Amino acid sequence: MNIVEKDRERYREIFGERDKQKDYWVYSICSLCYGECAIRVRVVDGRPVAVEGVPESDRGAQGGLCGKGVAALLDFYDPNRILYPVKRTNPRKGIHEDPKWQRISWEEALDTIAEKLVAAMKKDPRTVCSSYTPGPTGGMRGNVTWRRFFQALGGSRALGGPGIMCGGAAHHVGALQYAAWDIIPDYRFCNYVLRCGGAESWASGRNSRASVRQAAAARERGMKLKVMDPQGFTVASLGREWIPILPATDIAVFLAIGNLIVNEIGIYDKEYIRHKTNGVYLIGPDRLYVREKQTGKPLFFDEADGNVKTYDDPTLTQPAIEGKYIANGVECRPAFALVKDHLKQYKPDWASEISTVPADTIRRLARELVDEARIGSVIEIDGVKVPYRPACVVGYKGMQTHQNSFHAYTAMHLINVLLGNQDVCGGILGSGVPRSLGYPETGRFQFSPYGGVEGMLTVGPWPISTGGSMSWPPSKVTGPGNSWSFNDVLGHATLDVYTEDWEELWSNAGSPFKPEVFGTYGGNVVMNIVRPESAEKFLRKVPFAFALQPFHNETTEGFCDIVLPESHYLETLDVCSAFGVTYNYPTGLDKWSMHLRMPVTEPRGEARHAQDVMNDLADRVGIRRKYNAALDDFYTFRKARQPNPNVEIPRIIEPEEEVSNIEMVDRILKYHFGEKRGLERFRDNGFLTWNKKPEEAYWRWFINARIPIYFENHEEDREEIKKRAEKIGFHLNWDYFTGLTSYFPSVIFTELPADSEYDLFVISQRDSLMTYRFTAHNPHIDKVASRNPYTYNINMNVGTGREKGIRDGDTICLENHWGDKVTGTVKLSQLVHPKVVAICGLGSWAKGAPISRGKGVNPNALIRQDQHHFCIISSSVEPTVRVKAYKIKETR
Amino acid sequence: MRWGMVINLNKCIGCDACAVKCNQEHFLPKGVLWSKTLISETGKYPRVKKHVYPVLCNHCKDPACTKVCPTGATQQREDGIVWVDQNKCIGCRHCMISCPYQSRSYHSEEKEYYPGQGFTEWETIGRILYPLRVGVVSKCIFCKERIDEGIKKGLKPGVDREATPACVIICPAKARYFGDLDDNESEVSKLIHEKGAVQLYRAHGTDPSVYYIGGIEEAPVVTKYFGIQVFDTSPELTFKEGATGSEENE
Repeated sequence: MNIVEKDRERYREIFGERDKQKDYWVYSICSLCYGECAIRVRVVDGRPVAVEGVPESDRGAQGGLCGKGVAALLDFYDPNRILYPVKRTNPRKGIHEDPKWQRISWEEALDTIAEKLVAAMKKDPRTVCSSYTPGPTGGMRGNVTWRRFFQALGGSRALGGPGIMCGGAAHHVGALQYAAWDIIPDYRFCNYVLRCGGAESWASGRNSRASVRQAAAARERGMKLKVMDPQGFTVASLGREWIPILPATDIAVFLAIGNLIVNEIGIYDKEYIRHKTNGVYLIGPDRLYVREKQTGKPLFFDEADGNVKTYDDPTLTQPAIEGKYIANGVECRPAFALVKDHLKQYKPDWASEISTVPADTIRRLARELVDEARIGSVIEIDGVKVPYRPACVVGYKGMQTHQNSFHAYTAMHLINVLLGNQDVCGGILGSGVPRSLGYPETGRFQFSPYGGVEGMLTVGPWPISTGGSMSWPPSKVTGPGNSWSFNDVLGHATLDVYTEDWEELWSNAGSPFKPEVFGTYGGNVVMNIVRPESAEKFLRKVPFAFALQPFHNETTEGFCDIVLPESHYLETLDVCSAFGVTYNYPTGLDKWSMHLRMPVTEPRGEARHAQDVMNDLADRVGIRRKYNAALDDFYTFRKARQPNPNVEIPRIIEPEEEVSNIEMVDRILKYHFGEKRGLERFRDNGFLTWNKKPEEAYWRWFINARIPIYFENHEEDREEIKKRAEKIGFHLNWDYFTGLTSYFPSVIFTELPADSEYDLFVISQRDSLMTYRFTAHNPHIDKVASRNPYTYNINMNVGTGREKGIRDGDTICLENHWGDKVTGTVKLSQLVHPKVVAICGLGSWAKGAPISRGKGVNPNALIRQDQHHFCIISSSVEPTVRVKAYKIKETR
Repeated sequence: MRWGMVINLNKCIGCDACAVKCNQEHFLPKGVLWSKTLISETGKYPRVKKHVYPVLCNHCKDPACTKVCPTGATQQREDGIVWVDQNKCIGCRHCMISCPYQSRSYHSEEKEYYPGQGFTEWETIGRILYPLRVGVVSKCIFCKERIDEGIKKGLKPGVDREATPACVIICPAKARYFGDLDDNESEVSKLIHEKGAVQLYRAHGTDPSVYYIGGIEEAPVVTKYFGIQVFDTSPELTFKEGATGSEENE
């Protein structure tokens, strides 16, 4: 019996009796965005008929759910689902090409894929490249099931997979400052949120409906929401104030606010800086740490006794944050003193000129933040005292994804540092929850951030290895030659293969390897990242490409040789959406809520679970041992820092074992929660919850670790990065590698003159019903979304439209200075900055997704990336582009 | 006993989960929508307000629709729920004209959700569980089947999920409430009294059973055939001359 048959037999043993009932509910996890809210599904006569949230769980909206999750039921019945393997018979590849699919057997499909993988591995495993994203039914499987296969194989990652707004700086700085993937306000206690670019608490993404629920309750309670955003018709519409701003200029406002707080208002959390940041590390005239000669340890000045000490000296009491000192015979100052002086140049009037936010507004926001933060206050929760700072600045997506993203995002978080609100009550929390003291009955499921190298905060919960370390300590540059994306040269940043200048750079680096096989899962790389023609350039070169998907899209149709049918998520058993890297553990004092993606029925047609497919491939390719080890490391949290080092970490999966998906899931659950809480328990009871402790929710002051507000590693690495990078043709502003968060204008303001005819800025915005482009293919979503004026249209300011002679309903063209164009219908709105055009990213053409064909506009078609259009520290692509707009057809 | 709903616009985020869930709950065919969100803007950049009103049948205490139905298909229960017996409906649509809130839908023809690809199993199941004849009018029924079944099991509508309208239980912002308007101690009655919830366009005189916290009585969204400005979200109306809402409100 092969592994798939074994899995099905075991499925029937566990779920067979349940499936015979006429009417039953199944607990599972939604997959229509990476919020992965808990759901329950009603099944009648073996057919799913209703979906809703789970009232008793904090993972999601406690019973509510978004329209996408509800509508996803129809995808299960979609006649366009891929239900058997197919191969391409049209040898031509390209956007708009018809693949002319031919049905084949699983044996032929897997044999072919395995043969190609083995041949490529023999040449060089790096010639196997993969991409993934938490796609429409992929959940977190992309990150675990798929990615770890390719890592075990020794492959490389290319073409990103995540969309253009994906958070390069957010994840990088999230890891450095929060030991977490991302951030979210502590809505239960927060009184004031300044939100900048990003629609969390309105649209989807991590924590999706949980944050909607939490934020709605907070607003009802009186929390003030202020939204600084180029468009005001998404989350800004919920707030008390909409502050329009030019895209990519938030950095100026943040630096001005930082200056006002430190140098004018003068009220900020000095104790937080003193004990929780590297603002106390002494910096010499070379802008590097002053270090103890014998050990190389960074030094502090202790105000308590007037001595210079190493950072880990047990007698250190009151490290100085200001002043001038002598250490090692060198004059030096604490890093914060440099930060404070550096901020002085960033004045509100200057920031106003750049951003169009009035200077008085900037001053007022600074004052409001300080007043609302209640610096110095303490609150007691369950007998535990924690700092109370109920004010924060939060931003994601639209604010941090720009060419200047690292500095923009650290400028924003500098404000949070000054308020002392990081991972304390009412402030900003890392999401997924970075600290767990363990499931009460077993002690497992534990992880914690900790103070690592040089006392710096180091991520606890998940192994980070996404193309360059995001967590501390930073990786050293070793390339070029090991990575398509040059992160072995740039340190953290990854320049992906779809850029306009990638070929030249790769050639200069000696073309170390060329792609032989490309595997894609979950997302739609042709549409998600930059203009499709750029992705096409790379994909046309790849001799063999395959995908594991439940639906066709522009990537599979244009470029894949074989597509394998993945089970719909309502047919899928998987545990990786519940564990590990997930950023969807309920935040703050919401309870730990452990759910499982459980199938309502067996997969239809010949569709298979992703884990079964990858296990099978691992056996055929001969990497099962390594693959098992990677999965075992992940699910046991073996590489996570364990708060209780006495808890044993035995294996769940033995190296050579041919374990099936269903068996693996059962073992993982029992491993963490005990023998009585395996798959059968979850089948019967749905999920598991336990209370979160304040030391978990608000861990910051319970862990001895510091975060960087001065980036000494940038000072140290700058020359080496510059040398290696310039050798292969990168010619960039290396001043970005500075220790001090500084103002750098995004390239969109420097590449064209201010009076250019390309006078409008295109931004992409999320829609509540449209998260992935895939959602436009769902007829129930389309039925409702087509009534929303902002969804399928190009949204332009009313006054701007009038100036250009454009009326509501006209068909217009947006054209960039490279000559790329998109067309669409205009909706004039008062809720858009006059210099901005806002578009929800759609515009599909895939034959396999007929409902979405021709709907909306693809703004990514205007984006060309190259070395000048991405952040050289954090990889964020510059997704805003300047265009001119003109009418091509009147509405009447 | 009179069933009513309160929608808190201070919590509502306009996500349309209610519209989608209603669609799923009743297996609504293509072209029929019982629950909608009306959207408009007032003001001038940068001082602009976006108005979002999730709307459904108001189950008015004194409905206009029951008075004009020639066959008695449109009728009102003792608990206030207004519904259409499709076996009696002849599709004359006088009720649609008379309704000041444009709450009703007319099912003009059977259309596949995936055109040219046949009806899905979901649609086939729907025709068994919730058959809707072509040529009849339909609308929100406050999920009366959930209420009736729930009461039989001893459950309380508005409190127990199974007995509560689907749009209420699905709201992720917990912005919707349901209960007995004739009971002064019910949650809905208290919310109306304490939060000053309003009925839309009270001047029509039908005494709606749906109230809005944070709403405006003369909301700049409600459509009407009698000449008041129209700003609906359906494409035909949105781009109609003079009906953009945003230009007219400068």
